[in-house]
Amino acid sequence: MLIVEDEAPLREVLVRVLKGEGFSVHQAANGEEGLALARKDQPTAILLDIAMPRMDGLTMLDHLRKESEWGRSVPVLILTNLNADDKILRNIMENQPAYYLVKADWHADEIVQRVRECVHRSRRPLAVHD
Amino acid sequence: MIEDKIVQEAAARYGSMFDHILEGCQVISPSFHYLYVNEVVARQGHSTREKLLGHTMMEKYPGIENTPFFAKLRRCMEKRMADQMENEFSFPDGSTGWFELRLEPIPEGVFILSLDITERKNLDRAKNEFVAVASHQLRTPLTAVRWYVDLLRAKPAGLSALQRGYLRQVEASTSRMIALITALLNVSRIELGSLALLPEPCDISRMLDDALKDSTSLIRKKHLKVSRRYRSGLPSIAADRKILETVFQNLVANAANYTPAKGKIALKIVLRAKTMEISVADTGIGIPATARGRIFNKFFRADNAREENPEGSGLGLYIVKSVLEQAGGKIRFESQEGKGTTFFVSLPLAGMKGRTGTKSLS
Repeated sequence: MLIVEDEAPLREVLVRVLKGEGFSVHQAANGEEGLALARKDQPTAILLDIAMPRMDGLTMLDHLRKESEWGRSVPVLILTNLNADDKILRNIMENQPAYYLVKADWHADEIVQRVRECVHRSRRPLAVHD
Repeated sequence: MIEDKIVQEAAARYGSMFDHILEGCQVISPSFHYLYVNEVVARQGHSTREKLLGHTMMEKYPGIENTPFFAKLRRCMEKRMADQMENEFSFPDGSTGWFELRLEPIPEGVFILSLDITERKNLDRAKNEFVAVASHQLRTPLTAVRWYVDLLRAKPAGLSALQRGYLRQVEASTSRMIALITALLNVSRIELGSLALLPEPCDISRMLDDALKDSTSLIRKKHLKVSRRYRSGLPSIAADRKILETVFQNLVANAANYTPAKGKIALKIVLRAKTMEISVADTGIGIPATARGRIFNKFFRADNAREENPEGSGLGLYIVKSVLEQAGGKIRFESQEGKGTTFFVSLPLAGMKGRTGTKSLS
């Protein structure tokens, strides 16, 4: 599991709850680090923030989807506090994340639940929950 | 050019009245020639009186015939009915401006009063963008509060009953603040006019059931009796799912919030010739007669609603009405104070028209 999130307190909660569920967790604080770790470790699923320094999540997702067979199909959960504006919606249509979740609307255990769904079944058509 | 004589007559008649007024004043002939313009109009139009008078609007402002303003002007010219609107104009030099326009049919054609509201529009936009940005920024620390409370509540063994109670309060207040921010974001999006409409087939009865589910805990707590009167096999309607979810969630939650314990909520769907009518009825506190005209206003809350549920934001019904109208639907209500309220939502069976926009509801 890879968590890409620039806000340390939020990243820490995600790491903690996912580790508690038995996932092995890697973490990155921006898209650039995230992309490097994703290439190296090929995680089962990626939790991806959008607004981050150096490289934002949408750009990272673009790279992932285009550069390898694995990257094209790895389940990605977009986890953001931004609202779906046209740029985000376009990216979602093109890059098909498994989920688009507004962080503030979800409890930590609900996010774990979504991660489990992603991991336990192959990639499904888009589900937007904002 | 139209005959000079007609232009001179118009100048003689209107000049003395309108040359020195602060609003733009112009008289347009049935062939859309400028018969009279005051200085203000010339300035608003980045032109001079001499350049405009006697010429047609299409000559001076190519493309104006395709604007919503021109459609209204044509209608006013033909039907002889007064009208008003706000319109954004693009000028030949590339600049744009917002104007409030009043159209009045007169014997010579149409009289137009125009007020430059560009500054006000820019301020509105800045204000709305501020709300949108601030809301996003506020969500992040609130997410941290919510998730750390989640961590504490996940392992409650080390906490006393009192501490667990405090945590419930923190959680409840956080949820309330997040809901308020979401509502404010929706308001700013509605007012910016940047709401996208993405119609897809919607099963209305199912969406009503989902809205009920969202209020289940409150309905149980208050022992409210819910009846659902709709048959299976109703046609689906092409509508923006997010908009309808927002509408139904709000109406059902209101019914649950403003109905005293052991009251009733009745959901009904009726098919009419061209519309589907969804009603949400309750046996709640009702809307006082004095509040009825303002119930859809932003931030307005009736006194009895404030007493019953101090936590409401006064944004729910405003959002419901605004998004429904943008989507081609309608809402009305009947109410008796102390007896109950019924809201009726009507949706066109033909479905909503799609619209590209930059934002969707959250």
